[in-house]
Amino acid sequence: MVEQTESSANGVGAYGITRHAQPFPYWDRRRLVGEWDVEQSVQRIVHYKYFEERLSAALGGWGATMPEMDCKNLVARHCYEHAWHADLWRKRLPELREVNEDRSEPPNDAFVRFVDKLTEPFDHDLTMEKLVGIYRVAIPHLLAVYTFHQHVTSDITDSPTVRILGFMLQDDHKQYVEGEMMIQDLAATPELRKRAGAWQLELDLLLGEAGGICGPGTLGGLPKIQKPPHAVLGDELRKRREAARKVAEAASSS
Amino acid sequence: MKKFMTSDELARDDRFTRSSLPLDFLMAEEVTVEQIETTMTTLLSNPDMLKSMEDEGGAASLLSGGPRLNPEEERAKLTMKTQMHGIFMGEMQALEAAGRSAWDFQDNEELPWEFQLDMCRQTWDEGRHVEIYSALLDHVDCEIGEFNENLFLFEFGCSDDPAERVTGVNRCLEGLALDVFQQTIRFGKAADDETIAQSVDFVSADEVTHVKFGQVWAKALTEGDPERRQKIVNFQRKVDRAFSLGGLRGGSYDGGATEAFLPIAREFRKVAGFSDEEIDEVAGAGPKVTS
Repeated sequence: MVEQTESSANGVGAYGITRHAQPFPYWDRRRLVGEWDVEQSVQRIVHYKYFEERLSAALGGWGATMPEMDCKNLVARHCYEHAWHADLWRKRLPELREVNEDRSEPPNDAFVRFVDKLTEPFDHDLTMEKLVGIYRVAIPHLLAVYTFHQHVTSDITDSPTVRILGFMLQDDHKQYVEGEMMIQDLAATPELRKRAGAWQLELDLLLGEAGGICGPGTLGGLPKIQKPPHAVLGDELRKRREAARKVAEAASSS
Repeated sequence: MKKFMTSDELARDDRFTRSSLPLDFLMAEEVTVEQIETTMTTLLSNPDMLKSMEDEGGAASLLSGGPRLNPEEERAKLTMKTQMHGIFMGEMQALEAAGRSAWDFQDNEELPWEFQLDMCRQTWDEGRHVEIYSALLDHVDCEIGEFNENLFLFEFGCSDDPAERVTGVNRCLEGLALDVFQQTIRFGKAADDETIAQSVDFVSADEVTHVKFGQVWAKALTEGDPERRQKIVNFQRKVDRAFSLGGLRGGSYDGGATEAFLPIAREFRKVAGFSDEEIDEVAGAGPKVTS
Protein backbone atom coordinates (compact mmCIF):
# COMPACT_ATOMS: atom_id res chain seq x y z
CA MET A 1 0.00 0.00 0.00
CA VAL A 2 1.24 3.49 -0.85
CA GLU A 3 1.88 5.54 2.27
CA GLN A 4 0.04 8.84 2.00
CA THR A 5 1.65 12.08 3.09
CA GLU A 6 -0.28 14.54 5.21
CA SER A 7 -0.79 16.88 2.25
CA SER A 8 -2.14 14.15 -0.02
CA ALA A 9 -4.37 12.37 2.50
CA ASN A 10 -7.34 14.48 1.44
CA GLY A 11 -7.33 16.20 -1.96
CA VAL A 12 -6.16 15.65 -5.51
CA GLY A 13 -3.08 13.69 -4.45
CA ALA A 14 -5.05 11.10 -2.51
CA TYR A 15 -6.24 7.65 -3.49
CA GLY A 16 -9.72 6.16 -3.41
CA ILE A 17 -12.64 7.88 -1.68
CA THR A 18 -10.46 10.55 -0.16
CA ARG A 19 -9.36 11.83 -3.57
CA HIS A 20 -11.45 14.96 -3.97
CA ALA A 21 -10.54 15.61 -7.56
CA GLN A 22 -12.17 17.67 -10.30
CA PRO A 23 -13.40 15.65 -13.30
CA PHE A 24 -10.05 16.23 -14.96
CA PRO A 25 -6.48 15.87 -13.68
CA TYR A 26 -5.08 18.86 -11.83
CA TRP A 27 -2.39 19.36 -14.43
CA ASP A 28 -5.04 19.90 -17.12
CA ARG A 29 -4.89 23.57 -18.09
CA ARG A 30 -7.43 23.65 -20.94
CA ARG A 31 -9.57 26.74 -21.33
CA LEU A 32 -13.33 26.82 -20.94
CA VAL A 33 -14.02 29.95 -22.97
CA GLY A 34 -12.86 30.09 -26.56
CA GLU A 35 -12.77 32.65 -29.32
CA TRP A 36 -16.04 31.83 -31.08
CA ASP A 37 -19.57 30.83 -30.24
CA VAL A 38 -21.30 27.94 -32.01
CA GLU A 39 -22.63 29.99 -34.95
CA GLN A 40 -19.29 31.66 -35.54
CA SER A 41 -17.59 28.27 -35.48
CA VAL A 42 -20.04 26.95 -38.09
CA GLN A 43 -19.36 29.94 -40.30
CA ARG A 44 -15.63 29.23 -40.27
CA ILE A 45 -16.12 25.53 -40.90
CA VAL A 46 -18.25 26.02 -44.02
CA HIS A 47 -15.38 28.10 -45.44
CA TYR A 48 -12.82 25.42 -44.53
CA LYS A 49 -15.04 22.81 -46.13
CA TYR A 50 -15.38 24.81 -49.33
CA PHE A 51 -11.61 25.04 -49.70
CA GLU A 52 -10.92 21.40 -48.81
CA GLU A 53 -13.46 20.25 -51.40
CA ARG A 54 -11.88 22.42 -54.08
CA LEU A 55 -8.39 21.23 -53.19
CA SER A 56 -9.33 17.56 -53.34
CA ALA A 57 -11.00 17.94 -56.74
CA ALA A 58 -8.07 19.89 -58.19
CA LEU A 59 -5.50 17.40 -56.92
CA GLY A 60 -7.55 14.57 -58.44
CA GLY A 61 -7.87 16.38 -61.75
CA TRP A 62 -4.19 17.26 -61.93
CA GLY A 63 -2.99 13.67 -61.69
CA ALA A 64 -3.78 13.05 -65.35
CA THR A 65 -2.04 16.26 -66.43
CA MET A 66 1.38 15.65 -64.84
CA PRO A 67 3.95 13.70 -66.86
CA GLU A 68 6.18 13.23 -63.80
CA MET A 69 5.08 9.95 -62.22
CA ASP A 70 6.24 10.87 -58.72
CA CYS A 71 4.17 14.07 -58.84
CA LYS A 72 1.19 12.22 -60.31
CA ASN A 73 1.21 9.83 -57.38
CA LEU A 74 1.84 12.54 -54.79
CA VAL A 75 -1.27 14.48 -55.75
CA ALA A 76 -3.33 11.28 -55.99
CA ARG A 77 -2.54 10.52 -52.35
CA HIS A 78 -3.16 14.05 -51.13
CA CYS A 79 -6.39 14.23 -53.14
CA TYR A 80 -8.03 11.81 -50.74
CA GLU A 81 -6.58 13.41 -47.63
CA HIS A 82 -8.31 16.70 -48.45
CA ALA A 83 -11.54 14.92 -49.35
CA TRP A 84 -11.33 13.20 -45.96
CA HIS A 85 -10.77 16.56 -44.26
CA ALA A 86 -13.83 17.97 -46.04
CA ASP A 87 -15.79 14.95 -44.88
CA LEU A 88 -14.67 15.44 -41.28
CA TRP A 89 -15.97 19.03 -41.48
CA ARG A 90 -19.18 17.74 -43.02
CA LYS A 91 -19.69 15.44 -40.06
CA ARG A 92 -18.87 18.19 -37.58
CA LEU A 93 -21.48 20.64 -38.91
CA PRO A 94 -24.61 18.84 -37.59
CA GLU A 95 -22.89 18.51 -34.22
CA LEU A 96 -22.86 22.31 -34.16
CA ARG A 97 -26.60 22.65 -34.90
CA GLU A 98 -26.07 23.23 -38.64
CA VAL A 99 -28.90 21.29 -40.28
CA ASN A 100 -27.36 21.40 -43.75
CA GLU A 101 -24.24 19.26 -43.59
CA ASP A 102 -23.57 20.02 -47.27
CA ARG A 103 -23.09 23.75 -46.58
CA SER A 104 -19.90 24.83 -48.25
CA GLU A 105 -19.28 28.51 -48.90
CA PRO A 106 -16.45 30.80 -49.89
CA PRO A 107 -16.02 33.82 -47.62
CA ASN A 108 -16.16 36.32 -50.50
CA ASP A 109 -15.75 36.73 -54.27
CA ALA A 110 -12.05 37.47 -53.90
CA PHE A 111 -11.48 34.02 -52.40
CA VAL A 112 -13.31 32.44 -55.34
CA ARG A 113 -10.95 34.32 -57.68
CA PHE A 114 -8.02 32.99 -55.68
CA VAL A 115 -9.29 29.40 -55.92
CA ASP A 116 -10.01 29.77 -59.65
CA LYS A 117 -6.47 31.00 -60.25
CA LEU A 118 -4.97 28.30 -58.02
CA THR A 119 -6.75 25.53 -59.93
CA GLU A 120 -6.33 27.07 -63.39
CA PRO A 121 -3.09 25.38 -64.66
CA PHE A 122 -3.80 22.49 -67.01
CA ASP A 123 -0.96 22.05 -69.51
CA HIS A 124 1.58 19.27 -69.02
CA ASP A 125 4.50 21.67 -68.55
CA LEU A 126 2.83 23.53 -65.66
CA THR A 127 3.61 20.99 -62.93
CA MET A 128 5.68 23.61 -61.11
CA GLU A 129 2.74 26.02 -60.91
CA LYS A 130 0.38 23.27 -59.76
CA LEU A 131 2.72 22.18 -56.98
CA VAL A 132 3.59 25.72 -55.89
CA GLY A 133 -0.07 26.65 -55.66
CA ILE A 134 -0.81 23.74 -53.39
CA TYR A 135 2.34 23.30 -51.33
CA ARG A 136 3.63 26.85 -51.05
CA VAL A 137 0.37 28.78 -50.86
CA ALA A 138 -2.66 26.63 -49.98
CA ILE A 139 -1.08 24.25 -47.49
CA PRO A 140 0.92 26.89 -45.55
CA HIS A 141 -2.28 28.93 -45.31
CA LEU A 142 -4.19 25.94 -43.97
CA LEU A 143 -1.41 25.19 -41.50
CA ALA A 144 -1.54 28.75 -40.20
CA VAL A 145 -5.33 28.93 -40.02
CA TYR A 146 -5.91 25.50 -38.51
CA THR A 147 -3.17 26.01 -35.92
CA PHE A 148 -4.68 29.39 -35.05
CA HIS A 149 -8.11 27.80 -34.71
CA GLN A 150 -6.76 25.03 -32.53
CA HIS A 151 -5.03 27.56 -30.27
CA VAL A 152 -7.90 29.97 -29.73
CA THR A 153 -11.05 27.85 -29.65
CA SER A 154 -12.12 26.34 -26.34
CA ASP A 155 -10.35 23.05 -25.98
CA ILE A 156 -13.06 21.90 -23.56
CA THR A 157 -16.37 22.92 -25.13
CA ASP A 158 -15.04 22.61 -28.71
CA SER A 159 -12.72 19.65 -28.16
CA PRO A 160 -14.18 17.62 -31.08
CA THR A 161 -13.03 20.38 -33.43
CA VAL A 162 -9.63 20.51 -31.74
CA ARG A 163 -9.27 16.77 -32.26
CA ILE A 164 -10.29 16.99 -35.92
CA LEU A 165 -7.81 19.80 -36.47
CA GLY A 166 -5.09 17.60 -35.01
CA PHE A 167 -5.63 14.99 -37.75
CA MET A 168 -5.68 17.62 -40.46
CA LEU A 169 -2.59 19.41 -39.21
CA GLN A 170 -0.72 16.13 -39.09
CA ASP A 171 -1.60 15.48 -42.75
CA ASP A 172 -0.88 19.06 -43.80
CA HIS A 173 2.51 19.18 -42.09
CA LYS A 174 3.50 16.04 -43.96
CA GLN A 175 2.12 17.39 -47.23
CA TYR A 176 3.97 20.65 -46.77
CA VAL A 177 7.30 18.85 -46.39
CA GLU A 178 6.65 16.35 -49.18
CA GLY A 179 5.50 19.09 -51.53
CA GLU A 180 8.44 21.35 -50.79
CA MET A 181 10.88 18.49 -51.31
CA MET A 182 9.29 17.82 -54.69
CA ILE A 183 9.36 21.49 -55.71
CA GLN A 184 13.00 21.87 -54.76
CA ASP A 185 13.90 18.70 -56.62
CA LEU A 186 12.02 19.81 -59.73
CA ALA A 187 13.25 23.41 -59.73
CA ALA A 188 16.57 22.54 -61.29
CA THR A 189 17.07 25.75 -63.25
CA PRO A 190 16.96 29.46 -62.37
CA GLU A 191 14.09 29.79 -64.82
CA LEU A 192 12.00 27.22 -62.97
CA ARG A 193 12.80 28.87 -59.63
CA LYS A 194 11.67 32.22 -61.02
CA ARG A 195 8.47 30.67 -62.30
CA ALA A 196 7.84 29.12 -58.90
CA GLY A 197 8.41 32.41 -57.11
CA ALA A 198 6.35 34.47 -59.55
CA TRP A 199 3.37 32.12 -59.36
CA GLN A 200 3.57 31.95 -55.58
CA LEU A 201 3.53 35.75 -55.38
CA GLU A 202 0.61 36.05 -57.79
CA LEU A 203 -1.48 33.61 -55.77
CA ASP A 204 -0.41 35.05 -52.46
CA LEU A 205 -1.55 38.50 -53.51
CA LEU A 206 -4.96 37.11 -54.48
CA LEU A 207 -5.19 35.30 -51.16
CA GLY A 208 -4.30 38.55 -49.43
CA GLU A 209 -7.08 40.36 -51.30
CA ALA A 210 -9.54 37.78 -50.00
CA GLY A 211 -8.24 38.12 -46.47
CA GLY A 212 -7.77 34.36 -46.19
CA ILE A 213 -9.94 31.29 -46.09
CA CYS A 214 -12.48 33.03 -43.81
CA GLY A 215 -12.10 36.50 -45.31
CA PRO A 216 -10.74 39.46 -43.34
CA GLY A 217 -9.96 38.42 -39.79
CA THR A 218 -9.09 34.86 -40.75
CA LEU A 219 -6.13 34.98 -38.41
CA GLY A 220 -7.35 37.87 -36.26
CA GLY A 221 -8.92 37.41 -32.88
CA LEU A 222 -11.73 38.83 -30.86
CA PRO A 223 -10.58 40.24 -27.49
CA LYS A 224 -11.78 37.27 -25.51
CA ILE A 225 -8.44 35.93 -24.36
CA GLN A 226 -8.66 35.25 -20.64
CA LYS A 227 -6.05 37.24 -18.75
CA PRO A 228 -5.26 37.27 -15.01
CA PRO A 229 -6.34 40.41 -13.10
CA HIS A 230 -3.89 43.29 -12.93
CA ALA A 231 -1.44 43.38 -10.00
CA VAL A 232 -2.68 44.84 -6.64
CA LEU A 233 0.24 46.33 -4.74
CA GLY A 234 1.15 48.89 -2.08
CA ASP A 235 -1.54 50.79 -0.22
CA GLU A 236 -4.38 49.06 -2.05
CA LEU A 237 -3.01 45.63 -1.17
CA ARG A 238 -2.53 46.59 2.51
CA LYS A 239 -6.15 47.87 2.77
CA ARG A 240 -7.54 44.76 1.09
CA ARG A 241 -5.69 42.49 3.51
CA GLU A 242 -6.80 44.51 6.56
CA ALA A 243 -10.41 44.24 5.41
CA ALA A 244 -10.07 40.51 4.92
CA ARG A 245 -8.50 40.09 8.37
CA LYS A 246 -11.43 41.99 10.01
CA VAL A 247 -13.95 39.75 8.25
CA ALA A 248 -12.12 36.64 9.45
CA GLU A 249 -11.90 37.96 13.06
CA ALA A 250 -15.61 38.77 13.09
CA ALA A 251 -16.46 35.32 11.84
CA SER A 252 -14.35 33.56 14.48
CA SER A 253 -15.72 35.67 17.40
CA SER A 254 -19.32 34.98 16.42
CA MET B 1 -8.27 23.66 -65.38
CA LYS B 2 -10.35 22.32 -68.24
CA LYS B 3 -12.84 19.53 -67.68
CA PHE B 4 -13.33 16.31 -69.65
CA MET B 5 -9.91 15.38 -70.99
CA THR B 6 -9.46 13.07 -73.92
CA SER B 7 -7.23 10.04 -73.63
CA ASP B 8 -4.55 11.54 -75.88
CA GLU B 9 -4.16 14.42 -73.42
CA LEU B 10 -2.97 12.13 -70.61
CA ALA B 11 0.48 13.21 -69.46
CA ARG B 12 3.43 10.79 -69.57
CA ASP B 13 7.18 11.09 -69.32
CA ASP B 14 9.35 10.21 -72.31
CA ARG B 15 9.88 6.57 -71.37
CA PHE B 16 6.42 5.71 -72.60
CA THR B 17 5.33 4.84 -76.12
CA ARG B 18 1.71 4.59 -77.12
CA SER B 19 0.28 2.06 -79.49
CA SER B 20 -2.73 3.09 -81.55
CA LEU B 21 -6.21 2.43 -80.30
CA PRO B 22 -7.85 -0.48 -82.16
CA LEU B 23 -11.26 1.17 -81.85
CA ASP B 24 -12.95 -0.60 -84.76
CA PHE B 25 -11.77 -3.98 -83.54
CA LEU B 26 -12.85 -3.37 -79.95
CA MET B 27 -16.28 -2.11 -81.03
CA ALA B 28 -16.99 -4.83 -83.58
CA GLU B 29 -19.83 -7.32 -83.04
CA GLU B 30 -18.00 -9.87 -85.14
CA VAL B 31 -14.24 -10.34 -85.54
CA THR B 32 -12.03 -12.76 -87.41
CA VAL B 33 -9.08 -14.69 -86.04
CA GLU B 34 -6.92 -12.74 -88.45
CA GLN B 35 -8.14 -9.46 -86.93
CA ILE B 36 -7.37 -10.74 -83.46
CA GLU B 37 -3.90 -11.70 -84.67
CA THR B 38 -3.31 -8.26 -86.14
CA THR B 39 -4.61 -6.44 -83.09
CA MET B 40 -2.64 -8.49 -80.60
CA THR B 41 0.46 -7.92 -82.70
CA THR B 42 -0.15 -4.17 -82.53
CA LEU B 43 -0.92 -4.20 -78.84
CA LEU B 44 1.98 -6.39 -77.76
CA SER B 45 4.58 -4.75 -80.01
CA ASN B 46 7.44 -6.17 -77.95
CA PRO B 47 9.47 -8.42 -80.28
CA ASP B 48 10.15 -11.08 -77.65
CA MET B 49 6.47 -11.28 -76.76
CA LEU B 50 5.47 -11.49 -80.40
CA LYS B 51 7.87 -14.35 -80.96
CA SER B 52 6.54 -16.12 -77.89
CA MET B 53 2.98 -15.79 -79.19
CA GLU B 54 4.05 -17.17 -82.54
CA ASP B 55 5.78 -20.11 -80.87
CA GLU B 56 2.56 -20.88 -79.04
CA GLY B 57 0.57 -21.00 -82.28
CA GLY B 58 -0.42 -17.37 -82.78
CA ALA B 59 -3.63 -15.60 -81.80
CA ALA B 60 -5.72 -18.66 -82.56
CA SER B 61 -4.08 -20.34 -79.60
CA LEU B 62 -5.24 -17.50 -77.36
CA LEU B 63 -8.84 -18.16 -78.31
CA SER B 64 -8.68 -21.78 -77.32
CA GLY B 65 -6.91 -20.74 -74.15
CA GLY B 66 -4.17 -23.28 -74.27
CA PRO B 67 -2.67 -24.70 -71.12
CA ARG B 68 -2.64 -22.45 -68.05
CA LEU B 69 0.63 -20.56 -67.76
CA ASN B 70 3.02 -22.69 -65.78
CA PRO B 71 5.58 -20.70 -63.73
CA GLU B 72 8.26 -23.16 -64.77
CA GLU B 73 7.72 -22.62 -68.49
CA GLU B 74 10.24 -20.71 -70.55
CA ARG B 75 7.65 -18.06 -71.51
CA ALA B 76 6.52 -17.50 -67.89
CA LYS B 77 8.80 -14.59 -67.10
CA LEU B 78 8.16 -12.72 -70.32
CA THR B 79 4.42 -13.28 -70.04
CA MET B 80 4.40 -12.02 -66.47
CA LYS B 81 6.47 -8.96 -67.43
CA THR B 82 3.99 -8.15 -70.19
CA GLN B 83 1.04 -8.61 -67.92
CA MET B 84 2.55 -6.66 -65.02
CA HIS B 85 3.42 -3.77 -67.30
CA GLY B 86 -0.06 -3.76 -68.82
CA ILE B 87 -1.64 -3.66 -65.36
CA PHE B 88 0.79 -0.99 -64.23
CA MET B 89 -0.39 1.21 -67.09
CA GLY B 90 -3.99 0.26 -66.36
CA GLU B 91 -3.59 1.34 -62.74
CA MET B 92 -2.17 4.64 -63.87
CA GLN B 93 -5.12 5.22 -66.18
CA ALA B 94 -7.47 4.24 -63.34
CA LEU B 95 -5.76 6.81 -61.07
CA GLU B 96 -6.26 9.40 -63.77
CA ALA B 97 -9.85 8.39 -64.49
CA ALA B 98 -10.90 8.46 -60.83
CA GLY B 99 -9.11 11.77 -60.25
CA ARG B 100 -10.76 13.30 -63.28
CA SER B 101 -14.15 12.14 -61.97
CA ALA B 102 -13.45 14.12 -58.80
CA TRP B 103 -12.65 17.21 -60.88
CA ASP B 104 -15.07 16.87 -63.79
CA PHE B 105 -18.18 16.40 -61.67
CA GLN B 106 -17.38 18.46 -58.59
CA ASP B 107 -20.17 20.98 -59.20
CA ASN B 108 -22.68 18.53 -60.65
CA GLU B 109 -25.84 19.05 -58.62
CA GLU B 110 -27.03 15.54 -59.38
CA LEU B 111 -24.15 14.12 -57.38
CA PRO B 112 -23.98 14.13 -53.59
CA TRP B 113 -20.76 14.71 -51.70
CA GLU B 114 -20.27 10.99 -51.13
CA PHE B 115 -19.65 10.58 -54.85
CA GLN B 116 -16.66 12.90 -54.75
CA LEU B 117 -15.40 11.29 -51.56
CA ASP B 118 -15.53 7.86 -53.21
CA MET B 119 -13.74 9.12 -56.32
CA CYS B 120 -10.99 10.75 -54.23
CA ARG B 121 -10.62 7.59 -52.20
CA GLN B 122 -10.26 5.60 -55.40
CA THR B 123 -7.66 8.07 -56.69
CA TRP B 124 -5.53 7.41 -53.62
CA ASP B 125 -6.04 3.65 -53.92
CA GLU B 126 -5.05 3.62 -57.59
CA GLY B 127 -1.97 5.68 -56.79
CA ARG B 128 -1.01 3.02 -54.25
CA HIS B 129 -1.58 0.35 -56.89
CA VAL B 130 0.76 2.19 -59.24
CA GLU B 131 3.40 2.09 -56.49
CA ILE B 132 2.75 -1.61 -55.86
CA TYR B 133 2.97 -2.51 -59.54
CA SER B 134 6.12 -0.48 -60.05
CA ALA B 135 7.65 -2.59 -57.26
CA LEU B 136 6.31 -5.76 -58.91
CA LEU B 137 7.79 -4.67 -62.26
CA ASP B 138 11.13 -4.46 -60.51
CA HIS B 139 10.42 -7.86 -58.94
CA VAL B 140 10.10 -9.47 -62.39
CA ASP B 141 13.02 -7.48 -63.87
CA CYS B 142 10.87 -5.27 -66.04
CA GLU B 143 11.62 -1.62 -66.78
CA ILE B 144 8.96 1.07 -66.84
CA GLY B 145 8.27 1.79 -70.51
CA GLU B 146 9.57 -1.59 -71.71
CA PHE B 147 6.21 -2.28 -73.33
CA ASN B 148 3.85 0.01 -75.20
CA GLU B 149 0.91 1.64 -73.52
CA ASN B 150 -2.58 1.44 -74.91
CA LEU B 151 -5.12 3.97 -73.75
CA PHE B 152 -8.28 2.00 -74.42
CA LEU B 153 -9.15 1.65 -70.73
CA PHE B 154 -9.34 5.42 -70.23
CA GLU B 155 -10.82 5.95 -73.68
CA PHE B 156 -13.71 3.59 -73.14
CA GLY B 157 -14.19 4.17 -69.45
CA CYS B 158 -14.33 7.95 -69.37
CA SER B 159 -17.67 9.26 -70.54
CA ASP B 160 -18.87 12.81 -69.84
CA ASP B 161 -22.00 11.36 -68.21
CA PRO B 162 -21.28 10.50 -64.54
CA ALA B 163 -23.50 7.39 -64.62
CA GLU B 164 -21.64 6.12 -67.69
CA ARG B 165 -18.31 7.12 -66.13
CA VAL B 166 -18.82 5.00 -63.02
CA THR B 167 -20.15 2.17 -65.15
CA GLY B 168 -17.18 2.32 -67.52
CA VAL B 169 -14.44 2.91 -64.96
CA ASN B 170 -15.73 1.19 -61.84
CA ARG B 171 -17.89 -1.62 -63.12
CA CYS B 172 -16.20 -2.52 -66.39
CA LEU B 173 -12.54 -1.46 -65.99
CA GLU B 174 -12.24 -2.48 -62.36
CA GLY B 175 -14.22 -5.63 -63.09
CA LEU B 176 -11.67 -6.52 -65.76
CA ALA B 177 -8.98 -5.90 -63.16
CA LEU B 178 -10.63 -8.45 -60.85
CA ASP B 179 -10.45 -11.05 -63.62
CA VAL B 180 -6.79 -10.34 -64.30
CA PHE B 181 -5.83 -10.23 -60.62
CA GLN B 182 -7.39 -13.56 -59.82
CA GLN B 183 -5.24 -15.04 -62.56
CA THR B 184 -2.13 -13.32 -61.23
CA ILE B 185 -2.75 -14.43 -57.64
CA ARG B 186 -3.08 -18.02 -58.81
CA PHE B 187 0.11 -17.70 -60.82
CA GLY B 188 1.93 -16.24 -57.78
CA LYS B 189 0.80 -19.13 -55.60
CA ALA B 190 1.76 -21.67 -58.23
CA ALA B 191 5.21 -20.09 -58.40
CA ASP B 192 5.53 -20.03 -54.58
CA ASP B 193 6.05 -16.30 -55.03
CA GLU B 194 4.55 -14.65 -51.95
CA THR B 195 5.50 -11.18 -53.20
CA ILE B 196 3.24 -11.49 -56.23
CA ALA B 197 0.42 -13.43 -54.53
CA GLN B 198 0.15 -11.26 -51.44
CA SER B 199 0.58 -7.87 -53.14
CA VAL B 200 -1.98 -8.56 -55.81
CA ASP B 201 -4.35 -10.05 -53.25
CA PHE B 202 -4.45 -6.69 -51.45
CA VAL B 203 -4.87 -4.79 -54.70
CA SER B 204 -7.70 -7.11 -55.61
CA ALA B 205 -9.46 -6.38 -52.30
CA ASP B 206 -9.31 -2.66 -53.11
CA GLU B 207 -10.74 -3.27 -56.56
CA VAL B 208 -13.76 -5.06 -55.12
CA THR B 209 -14.49 -1.83 -53.23
CA HIS B 210 -14.15 0.19 -56.44
CA VAL B 211 -16.50 -2.12 -58.32
CA LYS B 212 -18.97 -1.66 -55.46
CA PHE B 213 -18.68 2.12 -55.92
CA GLY B 214 -19.71 1.56 -59.54
CA GLN B 215 -22.62 -0.69 -58.61
CA VAL B 216 -23.93 1.77 -56.02
CA TRP B 217 -23.58 4.94 -58.08
CA ALA B 218 -24.80 3.52 -61.38
CA LYS B 219 -27.91 2.35 -59.57
CA ALA B 220 -28.40 5.58 -57.63
CA LEU B 221 -28.02 7.77 -60.71
CA THR B 222 -30.55 5.82 -62.76
CA GLU B 223 -33.10 5.17 -60.01
CA GLY B 224 -36.62 5.74 -61.30
CA ASP B 225 -35.40 6.58 -64.80
CA PRO B 226 -35.76 3.46 -66.99
CA GLU B 227 -34.67 5.33 -70.12
CA ARG B 228 -31.39 6.37 -68.59
CA ARG B 229 -30.99 2.96 -67.03
CA GLN B 230 -31.25 1.37 -70.48
CA LYS B 231 -28.73 3.87 -71.84
CA ILE B 232 -26.29 2.84 -69.12
CA VAL B 233 -26.87 -0.85 -69.79
CA ASN B 234 -26.14 -0.29 -73.49
CA PHE B 235 -22.98 1.63 -72.62
CA GLN B 236 -21.94 -1.12 -70.25
CA ARG B 237 -22.38 -3.76 -72.94
CA LYS B 238 -20.29 -1.71 -75.35
CA VAL B 239 -17.46 -1.31 -72.84
CA ASP B 240 -17.60 -4.93 -71.70
CA ARG B 241 -17.35 -6.00 -75.33
CA ALA B 242 -14.31 -3.78 -75.81
CA PHE B 243 -12.73 -5.14 -72.63
CA SER B 244 -13.26 -8.72 -73.79
CA LEU B 245 -10.33 -8.03 -76.14
CA GLY B 246 -12.03 -9.62 -79.10
CA GLY B 247 -13.62 -12.39 -77.09
CA LEU B 248 -10.51 -13.57 -75.28
CA ARG B 249 -12.17 -13.14 -71.90
CA GLY B 250 -14.68 -15.72 -70.73
CA GLY B 251 -15.20 -18.94 -68.84
CA SER B 252 -14.56 -19.13 -65.15
CA TYR B 253 -12.19 -20.75 -62.72
CA ASP B 254 -15.11 -21.43 -60.47
CA GLY B 255 -17.07 -23.11 -63.23
CA GLY B 256 -14.19 -25.38 -64.07
CA ALA B 257 -13.39 -23.64 -67.36
CA THR B 258 -9.69 -23.66 -66.71
CA GLU B 259 -8.65 -23.28 -70.30
CA ALA B 260 -9.83 -19.74 -71.04
CA PHE B 261 -7.26 -17.07 -71.87
CA LEU B 262 -8.76 -14.77 -69.26
CA PRO B 263 -11.40 -16.41 -67.06
CA ILE B 264 -14.00 -14.34 -65.23
CA ALA B 265 -13.38 -13.91 -61.50
CA ARG B 266 -16.88 -15.03 -60.63
CA GLU B 267 -16.52 -15.10 -56.84
CA PHE B 268 -14.70 -11.75 -56.63
CA ARG B 269 -17.41 -10.20 -58.79
CA LYS B 270 -20.14 -11.63 -56.57
CA VAL B 271 -18.53 -10.06 -53.51
CA ALA B 272 -18.53 -6.79 -55.43
CA GLY B 273 -22.28 -7.05 -55.98
CA PHE B 274 -22.64 -8.75 -59.37
CA SER B 275 -25.51 -11.22 -59.77
CA ASP B 276 -25.01 -14.53 -61.60
CA GLU B 277 -26.96 -13.12 -64.56
CA GLU B 278 -24.75 -10.04 -64.73
CA ILE B 279 -21.61 -12.18 -64.62
CA ASP B 280 -22.94 -14.37 -67.40
CA GLU B 281 -23.60 -11.26 -69.44
CA VAL B 282 -20.01 -10.07 -68.95
CA ALA B 283 -18.72 -13.50 -69.90
CA GLY B 284 -20.76 -13.42 -73.09
CA ALA B 285 -20.05 -9.80 -73.95
CA GLY B 286 -17.37 -10.55 -76.51
CA PRO B 287 -17.89 -10.39 -80.26
CA LYS B 288 -18.68 -13.39 -82.40
CA VAL B 289 -15.40 -14.87 -83.65
CA THR B 290 -15.23 -16.28 -87.16
CA SER B 291 -12.32 -17.99 -88.82
